[in-house]
Amino acid sequence: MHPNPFGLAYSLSPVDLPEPLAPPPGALRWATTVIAVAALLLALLNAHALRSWAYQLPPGVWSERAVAAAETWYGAMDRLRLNAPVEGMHGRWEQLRARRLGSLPAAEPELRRGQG
Amino acid sequence: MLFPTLSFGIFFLAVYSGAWLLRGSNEWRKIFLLVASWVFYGWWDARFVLLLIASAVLNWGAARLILACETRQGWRQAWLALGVAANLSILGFFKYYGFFMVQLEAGLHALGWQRDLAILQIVLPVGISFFTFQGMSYLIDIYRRQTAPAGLLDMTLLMSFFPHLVAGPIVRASHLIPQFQRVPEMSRGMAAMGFALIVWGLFKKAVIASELATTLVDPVFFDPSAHGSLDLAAAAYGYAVQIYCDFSAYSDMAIGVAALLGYRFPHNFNQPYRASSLQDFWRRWHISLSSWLRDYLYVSLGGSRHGLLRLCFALAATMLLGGLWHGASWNFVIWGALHGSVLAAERLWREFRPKGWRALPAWLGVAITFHIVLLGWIFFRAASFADAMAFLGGLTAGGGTALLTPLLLALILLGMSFHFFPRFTVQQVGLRLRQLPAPALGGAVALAVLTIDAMRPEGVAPFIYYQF
Repeated sequence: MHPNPFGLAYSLSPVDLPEPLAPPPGALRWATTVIAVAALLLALLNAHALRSWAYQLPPGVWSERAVAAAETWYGAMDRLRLNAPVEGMHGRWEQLRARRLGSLPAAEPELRRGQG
Repeated sequence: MLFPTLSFGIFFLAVYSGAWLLRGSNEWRKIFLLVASWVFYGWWDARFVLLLIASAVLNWGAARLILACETRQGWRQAWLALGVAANLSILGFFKYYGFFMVQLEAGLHALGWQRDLAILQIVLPVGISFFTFQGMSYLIDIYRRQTAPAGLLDMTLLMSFFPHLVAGPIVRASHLIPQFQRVPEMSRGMAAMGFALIVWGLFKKAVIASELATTLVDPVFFDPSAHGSLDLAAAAYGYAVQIYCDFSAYSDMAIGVAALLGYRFPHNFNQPYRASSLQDFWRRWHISLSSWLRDYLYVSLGGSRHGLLRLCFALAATMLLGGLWHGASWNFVIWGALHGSVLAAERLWREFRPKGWRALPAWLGVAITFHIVLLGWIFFRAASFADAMAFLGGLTAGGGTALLTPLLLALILLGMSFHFFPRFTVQQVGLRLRQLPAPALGGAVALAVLTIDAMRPEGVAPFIYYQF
């Protein structure tokens, strides 16, 4: 058996899609824009994730600064009401989680810090 | 550093930017990716980065020695045997030392030796089974002349490359080294599939697997005797869905992350619970490990070349050792023995099925196969043999449910339904995504991540396969 000089044969990877006859140029720029837009939107709309992450950092000077910055950012996004969509969705999801089968009483929904 | 965390997100943004900025020089790009991979691995325990480097140098050196003895078959075999033995010694020391010492101590006690042995507590390096198997496959492929020799940088990067480092897929040298030898190109389709697989994996892990684990599977398996039959049954089905959603999620995210860096990894899962036989299951579940076991263990044990009896022995031995690969525990041995014996029985049935007996309808084959796999998962998940037996005994003891909720039931059904979707559903999604303008896709990715984040439990449990 001779090794394939190109590595993994076409179609053996889930990322292999049939290429169009004229592939659009600038795939790297396109992918980078996707990542940049997604990162920007997540930074604006998911400040609570940034805050949770900061609180989970190992204790130290840097983590204190990170927590302070994350709290400031969370507060700024809250004033713009940008935290509301994720917290609203989370509240709905918690209500769904709290439902019980049959006649069992519903459990108390868990709320994230900053909610309720 | 776990994939579904902000730490990994920030790390990946830095690696993505650095790797593509360095595309002018493939060598510097690879050095950058290698250092990034060591940072990723060192996040758990920096000491084990040295083990990773030593393992890569060992396999590269042993391969060079095999290549240097091109015309002397005896020497080639000797270097191969030494290299494989060295790999197995590393794996054995870290993974099985404690288990065998405990068994030895129990055996000595049974013979009347009353003193306790001094047993070292060994920390298991994350992903050691994966990178050791990767190194061994390179060595054996070099011996069999099935792959081209790799330079030290390529070999070290092959074993250290962070997307597959800790939980696979086990990517063979012949698949990845040629990709390392030129600056990769990324098409829009590849990038679109990368985004689709990362988001899809994130959903399976953070929503389905985590929810099932924390609210159903973990509490029931922690003390099976405290739960009624309905909870036990729900936890068994829940675990089948959890382990699939957890492990396939890791593979999906690994493949997606690699694609965004320009590299193609192979399939690792293909809707395994729709398999109509156990042989079919192993063509669909953890494909990179099952093909590894087939090519390097089953074939070496004789495979199908020496008659039916030898074939059944090779199947049983391969699955037993496959069970032990997961860890030093009698439950993994039982899991492997169950799979090995059913695989052998399927083969015997195919050989000796009376003429005129019709084959099982496909749906019945799927149902039977799934429930054999389910039985194996109970041993795989239970903390001990006694817990597994308590679990199985409790399944018929009666009793209702205190844990099952409409949401958990829906997640179990949703997780099972993935196996019956059209096979290339994610690829169909990828075809549509690549046509979107970048800002629209960026918005869609952000919306998907936000929705997943709103649904996930607090915190992230490690992937199940990190422990292997």
